[in-house]
Amino acid sequence: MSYEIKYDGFAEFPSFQYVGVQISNAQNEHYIPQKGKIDTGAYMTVIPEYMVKLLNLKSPTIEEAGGFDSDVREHDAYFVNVKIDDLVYPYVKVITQSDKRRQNVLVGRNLLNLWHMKLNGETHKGEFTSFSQNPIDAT
Amino acid sequence: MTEYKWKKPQKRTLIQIRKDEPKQWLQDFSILAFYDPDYSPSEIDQIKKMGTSVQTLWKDLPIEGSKISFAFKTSHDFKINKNRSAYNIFVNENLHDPKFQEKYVVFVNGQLEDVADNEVELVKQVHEKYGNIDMYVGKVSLEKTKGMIESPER
Repeated sequence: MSYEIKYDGFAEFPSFQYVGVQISNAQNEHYIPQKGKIDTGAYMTVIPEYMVKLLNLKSPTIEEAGGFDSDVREHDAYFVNVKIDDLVYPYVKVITQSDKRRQNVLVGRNLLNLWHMKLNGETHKGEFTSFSQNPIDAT
Repeated sequence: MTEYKWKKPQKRTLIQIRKDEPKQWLQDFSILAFYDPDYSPSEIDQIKKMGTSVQTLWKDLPIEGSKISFAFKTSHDFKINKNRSAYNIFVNENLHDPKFQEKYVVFVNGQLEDVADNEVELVKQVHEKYGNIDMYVGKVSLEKTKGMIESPER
């Protein structure tokens, strides 16, 4: 089954590609919907900080990550469920960004590498299929 | 050997600082030298001052063999840092033990809970056993990994 990748040319220009994601605490079904920006430059999926409180997430570990300006620092990491339509990825490792302006999710390579993806910049349409729902298979 | 004692020793963890310990200790220490929320406002003020003085003292400490006590910023930080500190001690002591090398370990209440090849399995196990509690999962490895979130955004 294929899932739609949309283009948003209003929030940013040139437009960015995104999927509608829902994020929950790995232990319950209370999902928060958000735009999930496709980001092949992100090694790991990033969630906005406001979700941590809303979902009562507790960080079991730390990730060291650098930004585009190569400023490396520690980030709290969490395990969440990521849902896209009827597709659920359980226990996906994510980090938060301290920038409170972030509202959307960055879908990073620990999810993207589970996908076969097609993007058409001319028609602003895209789609993906997922060959696995286990984040461990994202190599 | 120098030992710094604070007012309520039962609320604090004593760490031993050795020369060969990773830089992580310095980061932990700068985070941890604050206060526990159970203290009264006047005690917090006092400890804040002590935190400042301890951070200053840190720079002057003869690092090898020194001991220092510290308190924590919030109850969650206390728990996660208690587990993280236990992990750091564990890694220092077991880094070269083939039984643990390149394995993930999880700490709950400052105690080693389990060892596995996969960190997700460890987190799931702890959630199934105890629910949504504080824990720390880390890898026993000589190599430290770091990732990049490289895309600039408007």
